[in-house]
Amino acid sequence: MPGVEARVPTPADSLREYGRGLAGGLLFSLPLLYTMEVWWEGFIARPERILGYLGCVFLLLLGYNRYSGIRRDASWVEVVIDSVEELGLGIVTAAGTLFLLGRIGPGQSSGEVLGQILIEAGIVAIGFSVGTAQLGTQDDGDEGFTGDDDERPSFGKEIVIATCGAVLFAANIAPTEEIVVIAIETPPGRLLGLAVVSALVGMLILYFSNFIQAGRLVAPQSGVQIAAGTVVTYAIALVVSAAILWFFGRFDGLAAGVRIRQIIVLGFPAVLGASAGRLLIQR
Amino acid sequence: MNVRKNPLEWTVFAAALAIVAGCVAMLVSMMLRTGDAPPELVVTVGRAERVSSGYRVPVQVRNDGDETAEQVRVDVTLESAGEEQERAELTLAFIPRRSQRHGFVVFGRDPQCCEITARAVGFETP
Repeated sequence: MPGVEARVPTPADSLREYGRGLAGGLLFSLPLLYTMEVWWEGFIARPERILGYLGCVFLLLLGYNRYSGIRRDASWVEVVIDSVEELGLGIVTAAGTLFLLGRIGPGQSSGEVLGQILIEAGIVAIGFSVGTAQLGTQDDGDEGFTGDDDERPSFGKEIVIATCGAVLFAANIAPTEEIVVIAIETPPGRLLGLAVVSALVGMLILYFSNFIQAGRLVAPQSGVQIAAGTVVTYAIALVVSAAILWFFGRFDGLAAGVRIRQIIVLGFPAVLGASAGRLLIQR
Repeated sequence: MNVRKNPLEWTVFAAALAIVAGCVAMLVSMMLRTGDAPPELVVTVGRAERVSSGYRVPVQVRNDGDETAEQVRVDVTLESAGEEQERAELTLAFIPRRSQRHGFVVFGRDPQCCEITARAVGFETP
């Protein structure tokens, strides 16, 4: 496509974009749409918690669209518009899928239906955003928001993308019963080992695995920078784990020790998302 | 301002905005209406029907509380002259707040003979 400045997309372009978004939205959220614990959370979670969750999702969408989204030369107004659009399409997609899966229908209260749809819709919306941005043509003539793509990515951008990657990976596992089972049954020594391995795997993926684009997106660095990058990535993974676990009610009524164990257990998939996912979902 | 959108995209955006705003408005109104009351379960039984294994009685359980009830155990008994004639029970996995669930119990004898009482005897909260 010729990269004409300020070109208005044709309806065919738009439809292709929505198609890519739909593919991404379903790809990333299908495990959640097929998980009982997530349906239950839809009617167990209180409205204020769901509202807070939607707020967090919207912030992530803003961040992702700003740094890696559909049109990277977008203005903030466009970023907000795209984010609202993705959230709306996410809600419609989640509602349609839940209906086809027989999870929502007549006889349920409106609160129950709404809760189930919105919980699924958050992840669908993030998947929509990632799909629209990543599943398309390699070069659509967009200039980066901040100008030159070859510059070392800014710290803010790295944080936002790593957070999105961690959320996409960890959210699929967080609501399951398995996390708390592993957290309770695994001896502390092995959990410590899991934490160390998580950090190392994150480092390995980010700096030594030579992923496509890894060199471009994570600039070559000194030992100190690599160590710092690893710590930041693992920290993001842990914070995301804690937030998702809290949201899915996995902390309710549990002792601090068990909560921390759960965070470490979920930290492993989260760090995979924050490192590998980060290389996959940004370009 | 430099927003490049065709009419299709504006339409999708308008619809999305309406949907998102509608959902948020519903959540806020739910938030204002939802208190802290624990589950309050109201059990009603319907009319018995003859089936091959006995008499099937529909049971409806409604949760008037603000919290979801889990693992709800419902006892249904047939009494005549103050004496229990037969007892049946069922368990419902979840009854969300302000929602209802349906189930059935089956008695060996015709419930017409007796007075039928039903109540939720226990449940968990999340």
